[in-house]
Amino acid sequence: MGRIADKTGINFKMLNRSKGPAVWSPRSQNDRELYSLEAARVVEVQAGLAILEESVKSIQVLDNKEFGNVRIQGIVTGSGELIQCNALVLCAGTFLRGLLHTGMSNRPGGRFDENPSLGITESLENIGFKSGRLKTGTPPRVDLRSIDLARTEEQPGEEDPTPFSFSTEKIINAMVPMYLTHTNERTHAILQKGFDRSPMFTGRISAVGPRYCPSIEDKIVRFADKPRHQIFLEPEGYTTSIVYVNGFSTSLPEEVQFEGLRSIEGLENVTMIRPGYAVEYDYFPPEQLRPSMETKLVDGLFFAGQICGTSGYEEAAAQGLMAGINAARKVQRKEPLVLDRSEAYIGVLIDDLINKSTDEPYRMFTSRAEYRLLLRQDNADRRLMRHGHALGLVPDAMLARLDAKEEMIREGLRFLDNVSASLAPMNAYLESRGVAKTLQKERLSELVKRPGVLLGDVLTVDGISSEEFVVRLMHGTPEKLRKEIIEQIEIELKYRGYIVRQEQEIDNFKKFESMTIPEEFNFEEVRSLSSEGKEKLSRVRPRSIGQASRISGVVASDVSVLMVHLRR
Amino acid sequence: MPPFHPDTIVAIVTPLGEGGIAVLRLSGEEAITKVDEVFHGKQRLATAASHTAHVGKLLDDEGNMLDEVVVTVFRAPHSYTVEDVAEVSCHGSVFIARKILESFIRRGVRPAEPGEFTKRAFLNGRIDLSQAEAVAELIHARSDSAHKASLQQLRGLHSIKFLEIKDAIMRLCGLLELELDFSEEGISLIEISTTEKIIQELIVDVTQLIDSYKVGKVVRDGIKVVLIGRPNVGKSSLLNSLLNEERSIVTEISGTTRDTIEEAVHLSGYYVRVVDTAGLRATTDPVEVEGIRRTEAEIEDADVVAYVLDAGRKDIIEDGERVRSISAAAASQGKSFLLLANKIDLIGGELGENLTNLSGGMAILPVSAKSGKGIDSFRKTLSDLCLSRDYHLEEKSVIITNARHQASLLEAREALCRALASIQARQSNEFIAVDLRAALRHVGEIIGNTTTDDILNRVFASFCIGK
Ligand SMILES: Cc1cc2nc3c(=O)[nH]c(=O)nc-3n(C[C@H](O)[C@H](O)[C@H](O)COP(=O)(O)OP(=O)(O)OC[C@H]3O[C@@H](n4cnc5c(N)ncnc54)[C@H](O)[C@@H]3O)c2cc1C
Ligand SMILES: Nc1nc2c(ncn2[C@@H]2O[C@H](COP(=O)(O)OP(=O)(O)O)[C@@H](O)[C@H]2O)c(=O)[nH]1
Repeated sequence: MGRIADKTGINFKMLNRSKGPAVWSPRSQNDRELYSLEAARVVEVQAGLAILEESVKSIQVLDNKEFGNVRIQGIVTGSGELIQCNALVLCAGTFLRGLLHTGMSNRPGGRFDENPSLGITESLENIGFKSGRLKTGTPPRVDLRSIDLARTEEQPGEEDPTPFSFSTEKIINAMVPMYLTHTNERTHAILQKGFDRSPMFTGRISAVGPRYCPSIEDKIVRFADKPRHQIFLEPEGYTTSIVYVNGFSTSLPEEVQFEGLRSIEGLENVTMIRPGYAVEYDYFPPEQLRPSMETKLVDGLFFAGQICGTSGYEEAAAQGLMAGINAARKVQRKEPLVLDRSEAYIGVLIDDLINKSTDEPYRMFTSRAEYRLLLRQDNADRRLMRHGHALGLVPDAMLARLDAKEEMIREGLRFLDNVSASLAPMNAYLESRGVAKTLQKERLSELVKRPGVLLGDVLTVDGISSEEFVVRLMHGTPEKLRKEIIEQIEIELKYRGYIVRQEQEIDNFKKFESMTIPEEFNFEEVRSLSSEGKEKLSRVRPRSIGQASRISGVVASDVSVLMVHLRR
Repeated sequence: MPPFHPDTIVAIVTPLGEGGIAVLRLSGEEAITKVDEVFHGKQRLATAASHTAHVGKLLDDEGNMLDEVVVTVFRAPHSYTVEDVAEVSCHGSVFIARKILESFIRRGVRPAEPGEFTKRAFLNGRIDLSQAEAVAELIHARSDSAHKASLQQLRGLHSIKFLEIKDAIMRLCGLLELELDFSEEGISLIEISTTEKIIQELIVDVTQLIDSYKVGKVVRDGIKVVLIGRPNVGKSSLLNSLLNEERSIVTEISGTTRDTIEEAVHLSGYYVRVVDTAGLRATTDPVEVEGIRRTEAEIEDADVVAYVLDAGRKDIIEDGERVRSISAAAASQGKSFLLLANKIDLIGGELGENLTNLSGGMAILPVSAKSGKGIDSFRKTLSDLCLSRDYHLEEKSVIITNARHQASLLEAREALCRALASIQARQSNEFIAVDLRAALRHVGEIIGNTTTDDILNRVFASFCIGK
């Protein structure tokens, strides 16, 4: 996905650049058409993969009464054919009994111009799955040619953007700017006139939507004192004139949307290609899943994506990756791969999903991660690439690159810890950076810790630049790899105190994660658990003491009691 | 399996207010070294063999003697918890025991959770399997009652203060973190100078709470009992009989006035000062003005007023007026009042009608300094009063009285200071937030945990963010 994003991106930005590296986050906007073509191509050329396209009508299981388990059997297609399988990943997005609302009119649908998927929810409910209803929305699309761009603020992408994938050397795509404008009080007044025909406010939609991407009507009501809201106009690609009106998600009647849009600066003469709408859909509360994304009820059935109550591309992709990996491992009779909260946001996401029953669409925030300072985008390869390689998903060459990088980082840290620069040239550098001079010879690792001092610069200082290690790094290493190595060393030095503390917290966390609870453990039998604890534990069936402690409703003494029992 | 909890914990393991000695138990890797740091005996504990007892002095942070103690060393795995254990037996005063407890906490030993020693014993395989359920129930029962107790302590002003602190940290955290998550919108939810100011204020608040940590007044100062009554009713004799059984640990305290004798006695771990209003002995007339003045001065200062009658005297009814006025005065000042009938050996142990008439329904404690009859009940009555006054005072005060709360607050303050240091070093939000999270966790140990969702809810409710 990272590679496809790098290839088809039309606007890149590293968010939070002004903050520390732990919260830098790469964002891209992609040519919609190119992205989907490239994604399809990647899937089509994948060796060992057969693609069948059909709509699915129901899920078929084998109820093996003798062994007391229920196993996946296959799917029944729209044309009535049963396709058998040993593992199935269901990822139907917003399609299950999807209902699209614009104003007081609604029609069944999964997405604009696509049919909903009927039958799957019922077939799963019959097996015993619980389902719920969520809502999300999308803004109207407008025509680029009808926008008065001069009256908006152009938002160019970043120059020389950082790619998503470690294997992308450089991004050379042509960039397309985005445009910023704002709603105003007149817009709000116009939209308010349509509130009596809002499916949200009139109770036609009862499902819960996400608070972190509220519809424009929600924003107007909840933050009545805000005179304006940001609107980002985002072209959908190089060759289309469709523009996504980000920030204007709405399900108001079409004519109200249109009038509202036209009151916005730059959109006075806008053509609306298609109105925004809200979509209501079925989801399966994710506490019904194991950490592997396999359902607890049906052996071999996995869920992923928006049907697990999440919203967003990354959230869906993360689950799809894990469900896919583990479905394959299931078939190969291998242990599932489970990432934990200290390894990856994927771990945080899945752990949150299965332990905390969400009643609004779940979105990832960096604040959801305890070990945020370690879960950085810059060290994703160092954290996860070995897993990928072991699974056969990362080629040997990439792993070799990682090994070389790790070795250089180690050498670099050792070098900086042992070497100090002569005073005169170092002070000349410090002075140029406006940093206080050093009075005695200081080890380079100490100097780099100072705010304002950059490792990349320090390595060019007279006397340092000629050291064997530095020569090898600066002249014998490909540019991108060199940048990565310098970045890793710099972060490790500058944030050592914080990093060490988080590592200690992780040790503590791992201790409890490693105390496993047997799959068949019967929580009902533990007399001294609190009744709420017992109920929640029985429902979620945690696999470790650590997991148990994160379930809402389970108190500290329940955890102690469990520990005592497990020691039996 | 290795022990799960390598950190060292401490608690007073004898029930407070019972028995003549108090025992503190430390368990964990540093149990023995932590005691060694403050213990001065013939031998360093570091070299002591398992199951050996050592007499010596326990010093406070300034090097002054806190108490003479006996330390028993148990080396892993031959201890209750299967970890290194040191038990410190000190004199039964709650005051001393808590002082010692505090000094260990200041040295980084963590106060034990309810039932934690037993839990460790179990986790380390010490306790028989069949006892698992019993242990589990114990943990639950103890933590329930501990929970209730701490809720009680957290009533009123306390809890409001804690909640304010928690809320302020939570809000800050939310603002700082969401600014990171929604940076695309280029919003600034809070100025860094405001953040700095709020953290500084939080540090002041938390410090105030930490400094307010005191053992209850009763525990610290003991209670003062004043014996009053006509000459020769047996006040000195009663005082002596209280002292007799406590000879070994009585301390002589010079009287505050030339005419009073004050003796201290340890009752059930409490420190009780008994004042014999000896000055009254010089006067022949009990209603003499000067006498009353002095008695009143003593009463003024006392927690418990014990009026002693001579059960053998015919004219005892003449005490009636004074008993009534003094007991009323005592009640109005929140003091306890006791009525003792001494010398009951002279009337065959039975309280006569004249006595019951005089008391007007008030309970009379029949005692005999001579035969020792009733002295035990007298002692028991006094120690019960200590307990109830101790509790009473702590509940009403706005101070922290729980060592675990104090330990959590100390940790919270450290985290807040680190956050402040990050701001001053111009680190960005995420670095400030890590330590605010840590502070929140520590405050949470006192008033309940905060989840990320709590934080998010807090902020989404008041800010318009998200596209
Ligand atoms: C217009 C729009 C804009 C969005 N913008 C953003 C954004 O900017 N950033 C962001 O992070 N998120 C965005 N989202 C949300 C994001 O697209 C979804 O959360 C994410 O794609 C969900 O992924 P998914 O794989 O679970 O489901 P989907 O991507 O919805 O995929 C479901 C697939 O299942 C197929 N399907 C369903 N039922 C059947 C059946 N019975 N038989 C066969 N196939 C079936 C569908 O055809 C579809 O291809 C947007 C969503 C929409 C609708
Ligand atoms: N029979 C009897 N005599 C007592 C008792 N208590 C004290 N006395 C005697 O009463 C006298 C006065 O006692 P003292 O303690 O000096 O009285 P005070 O003036 O109230 O302190 C002494 O002779 C005591 O021996 C008692 O319980 N029984």
